[in-house]
Amino acid sequence: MHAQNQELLYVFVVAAVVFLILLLLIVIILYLHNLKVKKMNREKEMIKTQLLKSRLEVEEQTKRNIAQELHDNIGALSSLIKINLTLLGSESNTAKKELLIGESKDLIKTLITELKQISVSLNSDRLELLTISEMIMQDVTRLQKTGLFEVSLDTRGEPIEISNDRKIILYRICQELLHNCLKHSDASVVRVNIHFLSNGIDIQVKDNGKGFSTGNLLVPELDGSGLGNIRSRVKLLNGSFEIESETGSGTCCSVFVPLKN
Amino acid sequence: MQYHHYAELSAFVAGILLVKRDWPFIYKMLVALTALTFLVEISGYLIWTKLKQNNNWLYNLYLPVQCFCILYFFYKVSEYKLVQKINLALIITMFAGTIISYFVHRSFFFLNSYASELYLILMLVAAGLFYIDSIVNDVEIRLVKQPPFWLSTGLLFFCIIYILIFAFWNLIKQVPYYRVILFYSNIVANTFLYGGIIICFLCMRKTRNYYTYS
Repeated sequence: MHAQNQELLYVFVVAAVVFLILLLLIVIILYLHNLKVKKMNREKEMIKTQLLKSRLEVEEQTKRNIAQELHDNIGALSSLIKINLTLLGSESNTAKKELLIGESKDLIKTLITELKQISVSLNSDRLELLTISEMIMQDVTRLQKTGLFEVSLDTRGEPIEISNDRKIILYRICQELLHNCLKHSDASVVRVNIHFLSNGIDIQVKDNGKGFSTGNLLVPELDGSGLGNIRSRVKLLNGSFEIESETGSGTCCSVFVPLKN
Repeated sequence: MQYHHYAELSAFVAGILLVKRDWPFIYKMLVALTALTFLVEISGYLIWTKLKQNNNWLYNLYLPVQCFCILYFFYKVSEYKLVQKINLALIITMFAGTIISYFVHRSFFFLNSYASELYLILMLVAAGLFYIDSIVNDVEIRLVKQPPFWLSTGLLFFCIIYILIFAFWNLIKQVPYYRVILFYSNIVANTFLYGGIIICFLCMRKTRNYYTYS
């Protein structure tokens, strides 16, 4: 009887230990899961903040572009029309008058087209309707117009649909890279390659400018070209960012963003 | 009626009161399972007490159904591919094990203890896998707000209690008051399982945006 009781006690002890271990495991799992959820929420918040920042920066850039367009194109066209009209008032020759009227009509037509383009670019929803290559193409066209360097865009592969949020962040990264070319590279040729892969998008921005020693990038204080911003944005998209450059031999920046975050 | 009948009935009533048309199939299946459990248990009880007949055949029919439903539930709620595959393997093992167990346990009119133990182990593994799945998947909802968490927790304790009883059965049955031990073990096990199911239903009702599990 005594041995039996002892064996039964042994059963109870085993049962109690199993129960306690189970409880402990559940508590640990709950704790780990809680940590994971908190981390995910933090990341989500960071993406939200970064997205908002990117949107604001894109809008800011658009405003700057519009200001430049207004100054360079609309302003110049309006001045030309004004000159034509002034000349028209003092002109007595009918043939010359008709020529000036025709010329003014053409200028007004160009002016209307330019204004339409500006009004389209002011629409904040328009970006969501464009694909990433179309968005980058806009910037490439604008840079071509400046005539500062020769810019080209090459797209390869079947275009991939990505969410608007990721698209905006990726677009902002490309804007930043192009801006760096404009500001720091002293290049005469800039090539943008967009490669749509089965698992993501690979974007390269290459220039033949003065280049730089990549060793300087290790010192955050020397990184005044917004590369830190680009890196943090790429990280948010779970992507990778690489720079290849040497003093005097141009720069190649590559961004790879996977399809799934 | 015994305690576990009340527990099963409570789970069924909770399921009926809380179920919504837009709930995923597996949750509706869980409500149906509680109804079936109650019917089987009450029928088994009446066959045994009133008709004085053997009711083991009824459990030999019911237990594979119960095990399949629970394994299928966990198979459907798992997000991680590997966990899903293991759950599928558990379902296949359940079918194969049931067939094989009848080669060892030839009578259908006595409780197939080999199969019963196998079902408990399989359900225990499936419940444990849910925790692994919850750690590796990307569901952003806290674990206590996820309905399957409550079912898996209840099931885990339920299975452990019955596995321990099976494991130490030879020892337990030698004790004069072993029926008392069984009675209380039964109460604790059923409280865990049906309590877990009831909270699972409540949680499902409350968490409207629980879109992940469909």
